[in-house]
Amino acid sequence: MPLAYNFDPGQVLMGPAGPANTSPYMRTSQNNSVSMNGQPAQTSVSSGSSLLAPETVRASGSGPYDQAYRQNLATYAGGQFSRPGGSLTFDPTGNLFGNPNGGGNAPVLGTGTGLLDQALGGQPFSYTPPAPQGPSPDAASPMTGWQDWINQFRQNGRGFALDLTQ
Amino acid sequence: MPQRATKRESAPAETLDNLSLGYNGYTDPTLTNPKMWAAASNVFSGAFGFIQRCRFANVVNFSPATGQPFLSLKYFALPGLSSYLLGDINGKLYSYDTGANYAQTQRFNPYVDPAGTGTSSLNGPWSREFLQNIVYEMNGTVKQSGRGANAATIEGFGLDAPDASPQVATTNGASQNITNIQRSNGTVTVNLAGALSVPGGSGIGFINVAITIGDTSFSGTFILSTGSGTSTLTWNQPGQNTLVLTPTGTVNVNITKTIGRSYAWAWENANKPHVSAPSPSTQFIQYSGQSAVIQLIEPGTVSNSGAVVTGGGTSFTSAWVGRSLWSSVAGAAKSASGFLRIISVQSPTQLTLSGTPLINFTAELFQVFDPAATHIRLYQTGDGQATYFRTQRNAFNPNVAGLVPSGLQFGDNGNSEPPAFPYTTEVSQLNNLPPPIGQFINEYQGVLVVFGIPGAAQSFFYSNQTATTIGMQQESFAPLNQVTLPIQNGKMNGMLEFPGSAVIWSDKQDMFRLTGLLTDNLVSTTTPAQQGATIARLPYNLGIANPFACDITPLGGIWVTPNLEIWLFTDRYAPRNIGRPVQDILSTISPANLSLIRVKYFHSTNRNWCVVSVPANGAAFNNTLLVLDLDLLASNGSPSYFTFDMATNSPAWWVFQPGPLVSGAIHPRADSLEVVYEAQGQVRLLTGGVDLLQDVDYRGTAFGTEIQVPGAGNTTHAWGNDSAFMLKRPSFFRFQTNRDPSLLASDGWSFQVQGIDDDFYTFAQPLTLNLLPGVNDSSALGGNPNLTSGSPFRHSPELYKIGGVNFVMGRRLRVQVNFPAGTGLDYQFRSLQIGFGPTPPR
Repeated sequence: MPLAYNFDPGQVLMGPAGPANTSPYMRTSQNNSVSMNGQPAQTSVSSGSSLLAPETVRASGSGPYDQAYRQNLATYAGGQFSRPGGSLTFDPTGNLFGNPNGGGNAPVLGTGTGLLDQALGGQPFSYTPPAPQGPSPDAASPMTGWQDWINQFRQNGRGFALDLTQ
Repeated sequence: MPQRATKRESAPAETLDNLSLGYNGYTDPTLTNPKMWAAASNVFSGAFGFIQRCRFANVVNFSPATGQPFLSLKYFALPGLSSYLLGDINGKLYSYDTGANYAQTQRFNPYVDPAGTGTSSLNGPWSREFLQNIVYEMNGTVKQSGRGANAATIEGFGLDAPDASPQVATTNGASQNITNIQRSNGTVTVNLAGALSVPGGSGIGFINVAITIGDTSFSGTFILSTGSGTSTLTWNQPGQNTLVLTPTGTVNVNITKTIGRSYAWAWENANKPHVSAPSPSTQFIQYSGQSAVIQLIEPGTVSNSGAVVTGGGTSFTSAWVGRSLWSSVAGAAKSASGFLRIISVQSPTQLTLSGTPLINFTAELFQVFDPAATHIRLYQTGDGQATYFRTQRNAFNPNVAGLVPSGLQFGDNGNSEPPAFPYTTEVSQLNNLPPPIGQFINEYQGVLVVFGIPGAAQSFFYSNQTATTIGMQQESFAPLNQVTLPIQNGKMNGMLEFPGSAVIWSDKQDMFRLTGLLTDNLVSTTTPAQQGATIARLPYNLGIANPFACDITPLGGIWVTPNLEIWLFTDRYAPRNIGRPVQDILSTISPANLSLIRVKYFHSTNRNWCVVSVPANGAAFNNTLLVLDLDLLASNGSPSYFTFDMATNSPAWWVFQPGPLVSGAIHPRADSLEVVYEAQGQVRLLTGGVDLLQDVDYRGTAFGTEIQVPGAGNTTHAWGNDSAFMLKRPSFFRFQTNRDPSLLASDGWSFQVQGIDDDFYTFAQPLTLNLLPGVNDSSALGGNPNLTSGSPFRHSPELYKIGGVNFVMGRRLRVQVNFPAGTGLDYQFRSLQIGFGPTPPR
């Protein structure tokens, strides 16, 4: 559904050069792109949400106990540790996962990185809106606003001429 | 021990009565006395003194016949309902209601064999225990619990924890300034500056009220009652009534956390009730003016092609075998007969269902569930905290599609911290792990002990005592609740509870005593571990044949060792070998069949027995019941010394060989053994054979069809061992039974006297004289069979004159009594008179 945008012209930015040519765009809090193709103002609105996908803990190996119990053991032991790549897989009856503990050239494994430790260390999960697109280094004229565009247009000597004779 | 019998003089007539010392195949036959039996089958005696024939009755004839035996039986009773006998045969499970003439009900395991067609996974023997009106069962391949009438509702033994953390989708929150607010009769009404949509909607969604200036009693997190999407909202809050106030503040659906909030969830079976251990936790989410939708799904999506399910981005695991699959468009994968179950997992992206679902699914979100699950509990932490408190609970309905209708989705708009709403004081039950599958279960002081676990043969696991605060303690086994015994190359092979203690055996020669209470062994960095139980090795070098080869009796625990001895232990004095009289029978058991031995304590009116079912004579199945009379054992002295000289005194054993009557003969078979306390109050000793449940001590009034018992009888040990230097030439024998002598012939009684002279006639080949009522008794030979006519006091069908037609003599005389085979009566042999001299006394 097309939406009408009220916007500050001073916030119109010039996009990077490309097959579609430079086109002005406007950064919004929802990271939308405004299409300036002459059609009524439209936006492709995303949900504005971020997603923490489900992460698994899996039991590997074929040691003692039935598979269901091995899985329960793995969930018990690894349920509160971080899962790089979204899955923590380890042998619940073997050598457990963990970070190297202590020094030397053959340190034993300590414990894995706990989720709470991760959070307390400043690495919780959070939604961070992506940074706005900056001017491409290939752009012939890196400009950040239409005002700047006008100034450079004038400074290049091709400013607006006022025909006072008319 | 002394072995020579004392001598005493012979009398002109001798009365042999109280022939109740039972079978003795151990003592030298030249040292025994006629109270002991050289041979016996299907007769017993007791402190009452006479010898009685067994009565057998068929209680259940399994139909259609399977040709397979009942491998294990278990008595089970429910208050207000009935008492039942659980059994397993041919890969199927059954219950028999003793209050309804043993009406049969098949029990269906929904995870393994929902259709009840039979599978080897359900083969016995099953080990079963009861707690809180629930039967817990394991057979080394499957574990399950049963509840309700006939224990017909079979569920899992515990609930497996979810194995994936929740999916959390955050969205921007919203907020509106308060225009005015009022509390009246516990309901708060607010008018906002603008409409506020509350995720989850009225009745479910949370709102946060933040008052900065004014009456702060309105602050907090609440469930919105009405008005989502409007500018007028209501919710419930206890408190004093107020006027319409205009504080400065907001109503919002924002969550803002400094460190972050983490979530986990668990399954619940409200029918027990029980709660599983929690799922893996999510990362800590650092909310910044946001709210969240929490979805309980596995990673990836699934599609099906018939019964084969393919995943995209999934992590299928074989731990899911037996569970069911739910997808967001189809709901639970079902056939016409119910939930389909996962029967195999080929890879992280492929598994197979037990059938083709009625509704196909393509690239759908999914979850795997236990059909016993009825609810879902959601837990979350405070900001940067480590404790997971329950905040929400949904009913779980796998029959519907969609995350919201099924209960697999929660919303979180609440910004509060514990202990404020919606945080409860309930924490996630991290230690509610189901036990591993083992072969045997034992109950010790309200705790279930599991052993016989593949890969952990020297260990036992025990259920929680205090580590479970929500859920069934007996279905929850904290991972460190285990004990490993120092038994070298042995395996834990038996456990028996005594008053205040338990004895544990290995399959070799280890015996331990466990005392105290098994306490939970939890990892703690602050509290030193305190073990409530002590396990001490006993110095007796005795193991056990198998976990079913023991039972507790009033005289102590009785069990069969791997080297085929029967011992008694009182937990106060040293064990005693009480199986010597039947050691010759025990020694015929093949070592490969030690696992078949069963022991059961039975008492009813004048029976006080310990029954041992064994595969005698190298048989591949149990065919003999060795029955120890505990009343006679107790009468032999105080329990501190059950010592016997074995010549004059020994434990009294009876030998039963029950089984079906086929072509006029009993085919002995007794694979399983159980004592049943029927709903009407009768106590019965039942054996399980091939397609047959049989009462082996039938009293004539209980349910069942009595069968004939041919071939029952006993042969006494020799009379005259103490004076074997003299040849005895008796003049008469009189056999007294509980029957009228005139009925002896029609009943079918017969007798035999065996003469042994140690020269020509030996124990192996004695001189035999058959004495048949109605044929060669004094009445028949006197022309007056069955006392139909003639003068009394001179002859009797139970009196046999020796000399002339009947002849027997010897240094030692043994007597054989052959009981009638008929039904409906108790046949008892009371005493034997042996006379000497020219004529019998008048």
